[in-house]
Amino acid sequence: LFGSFSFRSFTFRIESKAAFASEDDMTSGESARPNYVAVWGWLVVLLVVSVVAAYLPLPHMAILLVIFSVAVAKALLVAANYMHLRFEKWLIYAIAITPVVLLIGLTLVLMPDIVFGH
Amino acid sequence: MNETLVMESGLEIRAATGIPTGKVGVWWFLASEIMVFGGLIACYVLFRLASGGWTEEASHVSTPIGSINTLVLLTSSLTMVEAFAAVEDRDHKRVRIFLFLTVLLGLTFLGIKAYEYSTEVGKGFTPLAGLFWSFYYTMTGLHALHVLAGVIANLALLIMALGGHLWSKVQHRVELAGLYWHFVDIVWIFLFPLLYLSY
Repeated sequence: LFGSFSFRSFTFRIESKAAFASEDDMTSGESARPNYVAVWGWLVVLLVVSVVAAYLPLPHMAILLVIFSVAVAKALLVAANYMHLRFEKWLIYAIAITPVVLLIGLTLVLMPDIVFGH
Repeated sequence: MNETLVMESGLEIRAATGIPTGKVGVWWFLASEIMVFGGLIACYVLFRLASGGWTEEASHVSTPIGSINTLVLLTSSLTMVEAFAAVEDRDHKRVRIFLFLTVLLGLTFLGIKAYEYSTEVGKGFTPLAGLFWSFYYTMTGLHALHVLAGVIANLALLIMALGGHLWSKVQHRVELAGLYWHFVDIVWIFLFPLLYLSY
């Protein structure tokens, strides 16, 4: 949900081809460049949303859901646009995603013992 | 298969992957960093769930200060990526300005963090004050060390840019330093709700 949100809303100002990921010399010409300032604007809006949500008289679980969903959305925005993951090849995705999958797996397999084992 | 193509800019591109070698190296490094910070965060989450939460302890951190520092770091990511864009445009002046702003914002983040630490220690919330505070100082301290390393890297690039040496086939390092800087930003994006908002 947030992935498509971030990818669709912040692309813009495409000038020509992908930056750096191509075999071309990185300084040789124009590249697809997101609107970095617009991305920053959305990051600030999301920051405000998470801070306001933390102060609202909502159920604790609802607050946690909002603030961590916002964190994931912000991380995706930074990775996709500022780190140019949108333009990268599969190898970079593989390197980036593998430890994240390992980490989620590690947490899940430890959870029954540490959280529910007491 | 292992042929390396060296471009005019100094970029080395592996024929097998079509990706600059330095970029692949930095992403491998970041992958290991994900495990370092991720392991800490996973421990924090599991212990917090297991012990029923540390609401009282966590309520003593300053959410306004944490929010301001988040804004500072998010803005530094913008200036860093603008420095990269300026490299692409071969705009020397903008590269210098945005690298300077990134260094300044990084130092601002560290200054605010130092003020926060001194305030908390002054109130008796030392790393020994409880499990929450142990995690708090370990995670934010390790993160601050990474910010410091990023500031030093960016400062080195700024000095090279000011001396006119950045353009002698090493300008692609601005992108590599940027990847690291944005990663440090992403780590904070998760530390902020974990430590400052989920009380």
